[in-house]
Amino acid sequence: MLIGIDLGTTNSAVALWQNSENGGEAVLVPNALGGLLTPSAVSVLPDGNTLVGAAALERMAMKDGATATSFKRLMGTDRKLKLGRKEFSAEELSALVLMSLRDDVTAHTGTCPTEAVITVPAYFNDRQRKATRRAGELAGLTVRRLINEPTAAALAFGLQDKEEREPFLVFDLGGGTFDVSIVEMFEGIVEVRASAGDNRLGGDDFNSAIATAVRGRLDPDGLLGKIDERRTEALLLQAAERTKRALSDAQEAEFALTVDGTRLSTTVTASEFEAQAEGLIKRLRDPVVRALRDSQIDAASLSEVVLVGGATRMPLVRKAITRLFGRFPNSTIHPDHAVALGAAIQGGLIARDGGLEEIRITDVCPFTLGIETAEHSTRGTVQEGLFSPIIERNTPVPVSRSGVYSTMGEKQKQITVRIYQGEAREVSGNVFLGELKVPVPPRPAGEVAIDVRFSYDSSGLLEVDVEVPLTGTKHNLMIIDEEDRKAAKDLDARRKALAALKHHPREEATNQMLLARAERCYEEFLGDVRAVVGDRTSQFVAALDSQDPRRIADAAADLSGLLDMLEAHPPL
Amino acid sequence: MTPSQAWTVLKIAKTPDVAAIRRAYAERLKAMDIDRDVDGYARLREARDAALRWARMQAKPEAEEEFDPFAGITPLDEEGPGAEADAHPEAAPEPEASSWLYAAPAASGEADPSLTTRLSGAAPKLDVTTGFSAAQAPAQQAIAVARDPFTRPVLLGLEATSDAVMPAWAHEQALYRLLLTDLPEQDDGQDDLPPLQGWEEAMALGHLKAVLRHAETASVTAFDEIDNWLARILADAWPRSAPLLEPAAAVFGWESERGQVSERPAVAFLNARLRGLRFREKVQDPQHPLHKAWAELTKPAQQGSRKGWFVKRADVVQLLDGVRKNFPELEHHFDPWRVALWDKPEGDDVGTGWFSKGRLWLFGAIILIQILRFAFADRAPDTSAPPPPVTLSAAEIAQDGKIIGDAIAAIFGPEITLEGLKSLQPDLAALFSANRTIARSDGSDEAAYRAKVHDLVRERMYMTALVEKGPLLADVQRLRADLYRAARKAGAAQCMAFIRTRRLDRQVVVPDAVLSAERKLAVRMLDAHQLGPPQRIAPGNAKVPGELVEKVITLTGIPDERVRKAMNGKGSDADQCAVTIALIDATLGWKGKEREGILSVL
Repeated sequence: MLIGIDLGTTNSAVALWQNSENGGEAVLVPNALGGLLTPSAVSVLPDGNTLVGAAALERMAMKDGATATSFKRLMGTDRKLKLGRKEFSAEELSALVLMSLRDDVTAHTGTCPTEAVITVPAYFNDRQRKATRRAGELAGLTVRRLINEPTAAALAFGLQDKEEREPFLVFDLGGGTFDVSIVEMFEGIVEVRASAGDNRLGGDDFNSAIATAVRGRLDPDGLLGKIDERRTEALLLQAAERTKRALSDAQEAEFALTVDGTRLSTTVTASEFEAQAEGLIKRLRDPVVRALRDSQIDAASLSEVVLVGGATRMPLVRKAITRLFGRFPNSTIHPDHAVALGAAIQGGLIARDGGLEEIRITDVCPFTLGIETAEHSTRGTVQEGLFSPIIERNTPVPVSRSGVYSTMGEKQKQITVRIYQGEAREVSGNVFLGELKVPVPPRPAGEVAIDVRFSYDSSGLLEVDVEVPLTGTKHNLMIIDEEDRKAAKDLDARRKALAALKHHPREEATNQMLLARAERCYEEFLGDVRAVVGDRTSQFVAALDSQDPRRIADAAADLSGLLDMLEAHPPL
Repeated sequence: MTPSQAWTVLKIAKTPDVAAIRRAYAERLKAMDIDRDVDGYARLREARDAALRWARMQAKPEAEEEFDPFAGITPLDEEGPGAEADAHPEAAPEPEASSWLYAAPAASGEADPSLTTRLSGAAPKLDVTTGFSAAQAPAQQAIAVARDPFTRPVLLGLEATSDAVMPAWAHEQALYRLLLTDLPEQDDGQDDLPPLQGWEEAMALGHLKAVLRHAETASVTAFDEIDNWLARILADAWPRSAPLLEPAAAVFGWESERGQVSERPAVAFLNARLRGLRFREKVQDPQHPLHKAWAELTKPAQQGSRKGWFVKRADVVQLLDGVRKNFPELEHHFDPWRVALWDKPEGDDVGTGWFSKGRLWLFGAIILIQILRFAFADRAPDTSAPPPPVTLSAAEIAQDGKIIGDAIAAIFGPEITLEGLKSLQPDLAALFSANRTIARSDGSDEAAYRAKVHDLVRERMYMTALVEKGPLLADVQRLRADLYRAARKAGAAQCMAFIRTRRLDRQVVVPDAVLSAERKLAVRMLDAHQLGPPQRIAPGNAKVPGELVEKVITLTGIPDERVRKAMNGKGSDADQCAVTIALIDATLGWKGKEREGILSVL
């Protein structure tokens, strides 16, 4: 079975294509708690068990929370996160989320899926894409294709009514990344004209902006400085998230958190938030301008501006979009569901499922790809480290282009073809992808030429062929960088290690969630309240141990009622 | 791909029907596996694009022909694109054919017609809506500040109200005029635009602020247009636009474009200037590690100036190296003399660091050191031995008087007599008489006497010119080049002897034209009392820039290495003579800062 997965910064979702008499449709699969969105959070309990999703998120601000969130931002880097006694890379944490989604599908359909289409931000670079692919493989899924999030959203949007569409713009502001794609639909063709983005901008940044703004007045006594820094940050960001959501409907909202029994609170107005987020709002314009320039499309001739991503719910983001385009955006698709649905549609297309026969998607390569060169400057010196593009950004893929380069040194015996991705004129500002050493016959400088051909397929895999016409020799390189090679070697070992982690049984998810909530409340309060929470929690744990369903249900209802009450009306 | 090939690839008959073309494209696309047939896919796309282009051309041929990159870009009203469309019934150009988004300007050069289009589009509206008057001369404008409803609020810094009074396009126009059209009078030959004067700068900043504020709240299209337009005019108006650069760059994020493959040329130009400006600002702070080096190199030098005492060589090297590499436009702030002082290799420094790089230029600068400032002193002959007391007959006295008179006439022309010389420059007259006495006593002939005094006068002219500098120095050096040339005709040795000892061999025939020019100059100097006893001058040196070295090579046809040697006083007489003449010629015909320095050491 082939599933579509939106592996998001904040939330992830899984969908599958279901055939039916009238053609079929993409449907989201609920998780163990019944939700369609699973928070991209992983927590390691003191007993070594791992938790994924809402329950993990509950533990985020706890003393020994050992919870990781927003790790998508670290994809493609070597950074490890320490959870409890174990260290995890971003791709391993992503793999745990993917496993949890996979299990949801298994529980829902009774079949364990083996293949997946996973979405990535359009502006994810090659390293980040590779890391995502590896995460899928670590989770035991064959990644049939990585597709760009805005492209997936465009599919979901376009297939609502299957109408012809003049170019429209997908504005995808997620939890951690921002993408803009310009897409056209006609005759069953979904054609991406250009994509641009900022893979360091998302809803998380707006939370940070709020947290930074209120920190001083929220906590004049410096109470937050006395606890663990990680916990402080988690408390602030969670509170900021609540405030941000509240500000979507109101002109002012409370920013409140409880730390060790003390409740800290202040008020944030919409205009204050707006002022604080001004710099972030400004950053939205750049990718839009770039995508329009690259596709040579005038903003006025766009048929729609389609909103995707949870962060587009913010009124100030919508206001900025309205101003940017001089019109109201289209918010007819669910900003959190569209990407996963689009991935499932793509999955259906790959599996050639009925009802989808006549749809074809063509995408672009959003980055420039090229090699390192050197040249003689006007002063007679040699300038090294220059980037010579071979495939320009926003070229439709698959594509194959070549460039001719020649030797620079007398009797040069070898040419090192170093491959880079990026937009900077000097390679030092770009992402290194790999290198190929090509032996050449020693001749005077400039007399030996090589032909470098780049082939980029629709999954975003780059193949490099180098030919030396003088000798007729050919060299080939599938771009596998150092990290990839290393990773490929121990992929099996890592997969086993992840599989060996103890996961909480899926059927206990609801109880785990309740326990995590109770634990969080226990930490938040002091004195009598804490004693009551502790007492009810013990009763619940005892009920769980008894394995008597009726007793468990009663204790759970009792405990969750208490927690609901405490959260709604916190005792001051 | 030609349209005719396109129809074959698409497998349809030639049609202007866009929908039919797309349908054909979709059919072909669905029939192929693009991952397996990459080239086929590329061909299909090309065919589709060519066909669509052709179809659009059929649809509106005029629009395509008279395509104006800036049409419809004019006044960007506060109401946004909708209102704009109403105000301009002529539709915006077909977006897909549009290339204006890439129409980045050249960094300098003539104003592009597209620029005027943007402005002239706004022009007809001026009088109707606001009565904004035509451009005024700066002086009038300065007076008119109080009356002008637009400039006043800006000057007072009340931009908020100025918006209400003045629409965005009027600010754009005012800014354009200030930067590029209403220029104060400037000296001829000055290529750079003059800097904005105080009031001009205040107004320009006010207008810029309004334009930027408008851009920030405008739609992406308008923002992008303003971005391109402003980058272009700021680049065109550089360095006049310098004070406006920072605020504009901040709003449009020009610096984030720096070093990108797609960096627009105007933005690249401005980014380089921006970094230069910032560096200059920083290095002027006494706390800056290179401040002393900066101060040293920017301090005007005179002949004989020495390197500053407390300046570290490494700092100067670092500064020069950094400036040359990163901000070449800043080098004009440096005093070339000082740069030359520091540019000289010092012992171990040769062949290391920046200097070795400098040597890689085609023709590096050469330091010209005056080989021989003084061959002899024209002290009165009494310094050696007092002339023997000789009693002369009246006839002899008359004969001597005639010989002296003839010599004076030969050197200065017939209008100058011994009496005249005595009144204008008594010591020179005494020198003439004394030398005559010596000549008589040692039996030299008249020609030898005349040559001797001529040499003395030439020497005085030369030495005075070296001290006086200015146009006189150029005139004297021009004359000397002619004399060297004349001497060369007699032989390279004669030429070098004249250069070294200031003695012109008697076999040298100086052309009449040169002699008459010399006479005129001599009389002029005599009249200005400039032929007094020569002052002692310390030997100096000067840097001959590569540009001049190159000219000398061209003029003489002597190879690079030999020219270098000759300039350092080595090599054959012929080379040295030819190079000296060529260097004088080249320097006289050149306007660089080192001109005078070089002329003073030749």
